[in-house]
Amino acid sequence: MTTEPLRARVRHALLRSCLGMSLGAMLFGCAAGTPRVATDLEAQVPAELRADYNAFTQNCAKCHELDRALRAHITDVRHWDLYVAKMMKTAGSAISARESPKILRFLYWYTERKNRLGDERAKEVHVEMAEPPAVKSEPAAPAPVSAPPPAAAPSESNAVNPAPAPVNQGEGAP
Amino acid sequence: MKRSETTRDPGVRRSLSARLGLFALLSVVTLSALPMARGQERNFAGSVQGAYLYVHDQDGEPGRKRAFDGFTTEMSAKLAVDFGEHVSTAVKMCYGCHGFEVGMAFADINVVDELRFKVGRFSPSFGEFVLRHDPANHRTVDKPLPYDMGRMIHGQEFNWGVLPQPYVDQGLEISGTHWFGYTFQLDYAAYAVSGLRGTNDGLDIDFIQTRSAAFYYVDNNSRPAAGGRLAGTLDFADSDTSLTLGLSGMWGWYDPDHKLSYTIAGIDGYLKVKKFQLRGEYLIRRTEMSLGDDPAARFKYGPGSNGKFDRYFLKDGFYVEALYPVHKNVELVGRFDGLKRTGNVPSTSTLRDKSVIFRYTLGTDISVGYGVRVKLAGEFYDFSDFKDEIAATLGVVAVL
Repeated sequence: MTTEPLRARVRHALLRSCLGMSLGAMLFGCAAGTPRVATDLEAQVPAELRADYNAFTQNCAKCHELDRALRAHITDVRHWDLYVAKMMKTAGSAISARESPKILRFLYWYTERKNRLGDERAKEVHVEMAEPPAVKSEPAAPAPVSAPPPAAAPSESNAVNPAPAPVNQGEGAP
Repeated sequence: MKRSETTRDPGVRRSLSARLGLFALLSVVTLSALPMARGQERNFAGSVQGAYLYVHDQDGEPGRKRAFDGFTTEMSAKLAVDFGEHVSTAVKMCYGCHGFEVGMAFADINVVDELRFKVGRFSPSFGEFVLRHDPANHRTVDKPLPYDMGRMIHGQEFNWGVLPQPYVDQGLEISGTHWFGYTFQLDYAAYAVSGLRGTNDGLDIDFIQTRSAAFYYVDNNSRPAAGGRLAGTLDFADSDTSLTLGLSGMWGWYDPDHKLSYTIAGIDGYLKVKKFQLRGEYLIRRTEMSLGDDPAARFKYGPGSNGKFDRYFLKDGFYVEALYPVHKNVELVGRFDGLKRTGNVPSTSTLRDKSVIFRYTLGTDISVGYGVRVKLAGEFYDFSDFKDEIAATLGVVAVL
């Protein structure tokens, strides 16, 4: 029989539980197939945007998690112009005019893809609600992986003089 | 009734804080629900962190006697509105151990890249950590010792870090950025803010007064504090390698009679090589103490060789933190930090005239999807004046 006080035993049990949960979370996180915004996305980035995706991860992860940007409530791609310009002017961000068009190209693609997926999901839900329960609609098409039309994405040349000043600066991610 | 007498009542303070928090929360929700005006861009962001700090019992005494162990919750909700290309505003409401507080409420006027004005309530540009003080932006549950606010063991004896973060103040900041080609970025910032606060008979800064709305978000001594930061960043090809060096400083009075001064200086560095990140900072604060009518009774140590009591003490601290992703969802964090207080101490203090902490931290930051991450770390504290301690932190943070 242990002489350890009850309070100490409870605390030790709590610590063991915490460590166990963390280990579980780590294994869960490492397991394949876990839904993850940033990491599942990586495989779906088109080859022609891979360098842009790398620029996004390399630059943005300096100050914040990538989910900060990927989960931002932005649906209009033009909003990214302001935000990336804002981040460029955050002290020490090291996002140069050479890197910003790459980041923007990826974010444009990502946002348009997210919008398309949202539209398809909305249509699917609409069909499910309109039809009798016995008649199921076809599942939504897999996520398109092609890049948006080049015209929508910023080019290297126009990024040398980036968009006029963005607005509120700093304090981390959007 | 004087303001200080009114706000001394804990009930009044809680009531004020609760009302302020509710007002800020309602403001953020209302503003985010309003239809967007033409030319405006609006973004809502936030984070929630639930964490547990475990401190091992020592000689039968629970950790609560030496630290705020147990569960804590931190939350932030931020609304940023861009009024075109040159003006924006941001409002951030935070909830932490001390309830609701306004973490940000400012207007930002961007004239050109090299000249911006920020007016309102914001975190003054000091050091590198200020950009990452939100729990969603740093990889451990607690902050480095120089910036600690409420997590370190024996924190009350040390009166926390050199400059506990988040340090939010009201005032004006002028800043700018200039790129020299694609490779070198130069940033500057200069500000005047209300400053840190304390009492006329203070022996150190009172960080509760400094952050609390119960003492009103106004200057306590009619003397703004001033500070600034200068940083240079080298960005090598393809962003694989980046190096930043920064210098920061701040100066002001903290007592209502503006007789007790403080000066803080800091240097920071950051190196990124591919996915490996290394960052470090060193901060030092020189703080003036009130000697009072009878310093011999007030202080633990007597006068110096010149027969006079030293009016100042020094507090300095550092951290070095390395971050490396070992898996696409798992990052390893290693941190070595320290804090030192040098100078006379109150007669009742358990510290000596030179007290030091070193802390060794090893942890992980695990992404489990949907913007949720788990932070786990083990810590070893090496104290000069107390028994060494072992602690563990576990946190779950979600990006809203």
